[in-house]
Amino acid sequence: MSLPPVIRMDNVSRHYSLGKTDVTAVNNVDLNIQNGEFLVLAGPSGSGKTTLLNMMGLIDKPTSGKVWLDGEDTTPRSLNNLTAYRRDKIGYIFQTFNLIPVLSVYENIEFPLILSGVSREERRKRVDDAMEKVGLQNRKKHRPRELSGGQCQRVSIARAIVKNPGLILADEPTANLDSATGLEILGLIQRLHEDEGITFIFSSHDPRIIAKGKRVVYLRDGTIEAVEDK
Amino acid sequence: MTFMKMGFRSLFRQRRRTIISLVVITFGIGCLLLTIGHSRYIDWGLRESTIHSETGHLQVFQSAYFDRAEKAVLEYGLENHEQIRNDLDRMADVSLLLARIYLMGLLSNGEKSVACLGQGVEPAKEKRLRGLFRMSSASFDPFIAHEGEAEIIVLGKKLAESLNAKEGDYLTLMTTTASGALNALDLKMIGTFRASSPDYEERAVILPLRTAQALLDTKKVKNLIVTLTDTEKTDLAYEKISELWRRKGYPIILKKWHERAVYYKQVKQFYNQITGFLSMVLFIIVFFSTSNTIVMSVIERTREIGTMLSLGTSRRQTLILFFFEGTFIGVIGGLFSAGFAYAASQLINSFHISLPAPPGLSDAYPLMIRNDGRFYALIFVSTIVVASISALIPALRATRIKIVDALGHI
Repeated sequence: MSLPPVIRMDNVSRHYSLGKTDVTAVNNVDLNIQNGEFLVLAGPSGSGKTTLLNMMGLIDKPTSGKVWLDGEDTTPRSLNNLTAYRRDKIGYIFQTFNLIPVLSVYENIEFPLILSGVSREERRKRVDDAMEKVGLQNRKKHRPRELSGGQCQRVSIARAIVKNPGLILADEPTANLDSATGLEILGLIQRLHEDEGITFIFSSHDPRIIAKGKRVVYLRDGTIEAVEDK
Repeated sequence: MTFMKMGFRSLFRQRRRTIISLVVITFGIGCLLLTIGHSRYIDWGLRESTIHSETGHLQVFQSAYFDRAEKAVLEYGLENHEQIRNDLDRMADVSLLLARIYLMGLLSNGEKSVACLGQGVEPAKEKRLRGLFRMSSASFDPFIAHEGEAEIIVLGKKLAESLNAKEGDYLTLMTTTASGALNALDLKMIGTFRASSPDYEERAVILPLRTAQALLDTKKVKNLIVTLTDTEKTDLAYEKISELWRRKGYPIILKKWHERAVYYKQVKQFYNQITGFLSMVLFIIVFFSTSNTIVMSVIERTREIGTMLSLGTSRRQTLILFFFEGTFIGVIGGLFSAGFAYAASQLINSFHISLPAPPGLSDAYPLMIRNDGRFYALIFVSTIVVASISALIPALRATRIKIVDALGHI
């Protein structure tokens, strides 16, 4: 028996009200993402990449349609009731890194494990391991303000992988970095995907980044324009 | 623990705002502690001066004294007071025993008569009573100087002025005896005294107890004043003495000092009201100051809250984070307030500042602060509670933030 898709989206739409205007960010999207995929959501600004990613990450809900995670329909649950899913099953990498400024590098990476109730000893082991994977062993006690953009994004990646999630979502993870650092970060993400088999879904409009995706979903005006399998 | 750590560290992100909050709390609560300290001094001073000038710690009356109105002077006075004195003298905690008589009469210089209130006292003991509290006891010095003389009197200064009386002058004091007859004695004025109330000074006279007894033609005294080695022993001594007299079957009743100190109770109530009102105002300031700091913190950290929620932080944990921030402001503010108040109280006490006499009184009184650990603890805990509660409203607001909106917040 084959495993269900990590993410399954059935006829998903998302509308927003901006004053009296109704804006459709995502319109009738059907998408299945299998375990171990390295998928890019590509498209220009306003095409619905971030909205689609937010719904996959269970931080936003569709106006209509259904979002399934690991074979379970998440749509009937409120966002508050999905806290445990976000905590245990999904890792996030943000465009602006979004590290907690009052915590050190080590504490930022450790934070999701504390939320999951992992023991201190186990946390130490896993944080050290994640720091080694992203090459930040000697930055443990530094605060985010003392790091470069590339280092911050490495911390963000370590924070995402430390809880061993089945799925990592990255919203334009290289957009705030210079091109060399961006490629370096992308290389790191690719290596983690290959070594660990983690499912990565990230959004981008940068052709060099899009070229790295094994499957690329092209979005335009909230709908899937094309899907390219490599 | 992590949220506690984050809450604490977050206080130092906007240092200026946190400092302003702490300064407001420190000065507000510090001043409240000083006010309470001053009221505690007034309370303590008034309590001890009341005890050591008027009431003693305990008073012994004849049992019928409070049940029936006297038809004649000293009708319900103490008859067997010598026997009671002997019993009390043997008790360890009793430091002083003295008897008093109060009378009303007419004092005349031959040309002018003035109604007066007389107090028959044991001057040497009255002086000792006041000496225990280092109170002015000059009123009794003339009696000590004229020891051995019986028919002598000391007048309130204003009364002496009203009668144009000078030391050595003879004045006639007329009153009704215990049996209802009229009696008068010619008494030599041997001095004057100042009273705390000008009205009282215009009417008051003091004479030796035996002279008062002779004037009233009685061996009785109105009551016995019992002073103890420490005010805190009042309740214990009350129980012991009551038990002793229950066994002996004396027809007497014992009153504690505060039951006889109406003025003290009024002043204490007045100060309690002022302190209560001030506490309310200052805690409202603490509430809004802390709340404002947390509101600003929530607004500035909207994106961070969104990040934490997306990582799987629950709404309850978010609430706890901001609650801790309020609590830490309360703890630090409370500690600073206590330190400020203690240092300021030491400074104020070292200056020996005198405040002008309040309306109706003739003496200035000292601006002294009496620090009390219990009040420091109570105000410290209250500051923490108020600061923590004030953080709840903005904290609740943080928990209702939509993750997507928060992540897009600039």
